[in-house]
Amino acid sequence: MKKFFALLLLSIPLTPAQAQDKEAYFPEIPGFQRTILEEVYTPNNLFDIIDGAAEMFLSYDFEELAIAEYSDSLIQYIRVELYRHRNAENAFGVYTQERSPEAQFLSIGGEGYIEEGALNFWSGPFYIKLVTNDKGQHVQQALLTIANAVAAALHQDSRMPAQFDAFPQAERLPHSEYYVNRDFLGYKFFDIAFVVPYQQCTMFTVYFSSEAEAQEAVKKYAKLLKDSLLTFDKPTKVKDPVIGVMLLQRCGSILVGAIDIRDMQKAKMLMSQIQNNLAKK
Amino acid sequence: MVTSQMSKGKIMEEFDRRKFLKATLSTAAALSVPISFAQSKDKKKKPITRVLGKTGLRIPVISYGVMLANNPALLRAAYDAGITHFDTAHSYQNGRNEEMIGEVLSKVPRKSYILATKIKPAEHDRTKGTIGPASTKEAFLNRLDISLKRLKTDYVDILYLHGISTQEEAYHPEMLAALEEAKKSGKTHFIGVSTHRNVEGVLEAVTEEGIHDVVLASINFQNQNPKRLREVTAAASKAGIGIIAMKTMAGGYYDKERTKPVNYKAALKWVLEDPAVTTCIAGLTAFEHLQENISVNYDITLTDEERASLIPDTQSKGMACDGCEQCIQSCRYHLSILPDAMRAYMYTYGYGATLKAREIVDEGKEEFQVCKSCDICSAHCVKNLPISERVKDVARLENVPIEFLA
Repeated sequence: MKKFFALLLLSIPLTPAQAQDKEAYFPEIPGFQRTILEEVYTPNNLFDIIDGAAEMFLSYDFEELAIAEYSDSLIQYIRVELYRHRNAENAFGVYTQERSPEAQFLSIGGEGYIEEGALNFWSGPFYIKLVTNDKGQHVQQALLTIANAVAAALHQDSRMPAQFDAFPQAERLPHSEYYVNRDFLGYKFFDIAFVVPYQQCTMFTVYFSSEAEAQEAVKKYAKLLKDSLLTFDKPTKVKDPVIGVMLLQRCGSILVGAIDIRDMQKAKMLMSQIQNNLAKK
Repeated sequence: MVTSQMSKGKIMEEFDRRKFLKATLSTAAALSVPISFAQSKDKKKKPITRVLGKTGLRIPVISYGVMLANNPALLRAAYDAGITHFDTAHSYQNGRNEEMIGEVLSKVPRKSYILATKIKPAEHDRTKGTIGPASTKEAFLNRLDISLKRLKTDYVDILYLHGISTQEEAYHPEMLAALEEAKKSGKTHFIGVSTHRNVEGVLEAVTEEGIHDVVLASINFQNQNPKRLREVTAAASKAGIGIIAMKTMAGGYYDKERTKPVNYKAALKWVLEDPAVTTCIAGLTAFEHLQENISVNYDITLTDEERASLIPDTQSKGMACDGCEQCIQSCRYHLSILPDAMRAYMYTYGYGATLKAREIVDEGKEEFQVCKSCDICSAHCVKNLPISERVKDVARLENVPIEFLA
C-alpha cells in the first residue's frame, strides 16, 4: 500500500484530492459526524475496493477515488464515494452507464437519482455515489442532505456535455442521453459517441479529431459493409449486419447517425436539425 | 424539501419503460437480423472445451466477462459465435449489466448457455477482508432474487461470493449459509467465490474444505510467481474445484498512459497453458476483440512470438530504457542522468519501487535540477520515450517523505 501512497504523493501537483481538498469536498454537515478515509484509490488499486466494476470506471478515464462516511444517532453510516474522472464527459459517461431508468431523478449536480439506500449523481468531472445499509425515511432525507452539501462543495459547472446541445430537445426520452468513449456500437473505428434516444429513433454523433480521421473511419465502415463506394457525404441508409438499419452522414469531422429507427422520416428530420445545429457552432 | 428536488417518477411515467429500454439499449433491433460474426464459427471445427471441475460443466476455453459491455448486439454476436458462458455481477453498472444480459439471453434457450453472477456481502471491507454484521443470509438472498429478476431466469449456473481475499470471508457462516441455501433451492446450481487478491491463499482455503464448486480468480501473465500459482491451481483442480480465470489482460495495457495494449490472444493463451484453468472470462467491447477471442477457442497454442510479446511492462518498449545513452549526446547539457531517470521512472510506475527510484533522484540531484529548469528539451530517445516529461515526473520524488516510499 505504501507504494500506492507514494505514487499518489507523486501526483500531488496534478490532482485535487489533497488532504485539505478532501476536507473541502466532504464538508462538515450540521447533525452529522464526518469521517474522511485516509486512503485515496487510483487506477492502480481501484480493483482493491470495487473489484470487476473497476473495469468500467477505468474505461471512462477514472483518476482517483476518495471516500468519506457520515453518521448520526440513527444512521450507522452513509458512505460517500467521490470518483474523479479525467473530464466531465467521462464522469457523465460512467454515471449514465449505472443510471437506473426507473429511479426518482433529482436536480443535484448535473443530474442524480435516488433509490432505497443509494443516491448517485454527477457533477463536472466527479461521479458521486452515496450508499448505506440503513433504511427508512430519515435515511433517504439524510442521503439528500449530504448529496446537496457535497454537490455545493464541489463548485462544478454541471451542464450536460456541450455536444448534446446539437440534439433537438423535443421528443427526447428523458434521462436517457449517454456518452460512449470507445468502440461505439462495437466498432473500433467509431470511437467517441454522444447518444440521444428519441421516441422514434436513437440519434448519435461520433467525434473524430480531424476530417481525415472521420473519412478513414467511414472507409473502414464502408469496407465492412462491402460497399467501397459509400462515402456518407449525404444521408445514407444502410443495413448494418449487426445493428440493423442505420442512417449515417459525415459532416466534417463528425458523423451523425440514427439507429433503432421506427420512423425514417423523423430520423431524417432529426439528422438535418442536428447538422444545422452543428453548423452554427 | 425532498419533493421539490425530485422530478419523481412522474417523468418516467410519461413513456413506456419497455420503449425506454429498447431505445437505450439501442441495438435491440439487431437481435432479429443475421449476425455476420456468427459466421466466424467454423461449423466443421469444434471449439476447445474443458470440464469445470466437479460441476461437470463443459465449457469452451473462452467465455465472456460482460462487465464492460453496453452493447446487446455484441453479447448476442458472442452467443452466436459459440461462446456459452457469460459472467456478470449484481453490482456491475448498478444492475444494468444484468438487465442487458436478461434482455438478450432470455430470447435463446436457457439450457444453451451457462450464466454466472456474483454477489457482495451487504457490508464488506475488501481492503481489510472483513465482512460486517449487516451481511446477513437474508440480505444476500434478497440480492440474488433481484439478480434473477434482472437476468430473467429462475436460476444461475454459478453463484459467487464476490471479491474475497481471505479464508475467513470464504467461510463466513452467514455467506456460506446463503450460498448453500441458494443451491438447495435451485436458484443456483453451483457455488463459488471470486478473488482478485491473495488468489493462491483463497484457492488453498477452498481446496482444503471442498465446499465450493468453483473459484473465479485473477490470473494473468504478470503473476509474480507462476510456478507457485500453477502448483496451487493443480491441487485445487485435483480436488475437483473448477477454476475460471479473469483479469487475464492484466489491466489491458503495458504502459501507464494506456497507449500500448496487451496482446489479447497471447494473454489468453498464457492462462490456458495451465490445464487446471477451465476457461477465461474475457471482457470485450468491440467485434474485433470478439473475433480475436473466438479464434483462441480453436487454437490455444502460445507461439514463441506471442510469448515474447507478453514480456512484462517493465521490459516493454513503453517503459524500458535500453541504456544506449544516445539521449545524452542529444541533450544540450549532455546530462548523464537521463538513462538513470528513465530507469527511475520504470522503477516507479513499472515496479512501484519508489524508494529505489528516489535513490536515483537523490544521486543525480543537480542534473535533475538542470533538466527541470530547461524549457526546450533537445534530448532525443531512439525509442521515442518522452524524456523531458519523465524526468520532470520522477524528479518530484524528492518532495515525497522517505517514510512513504516503498
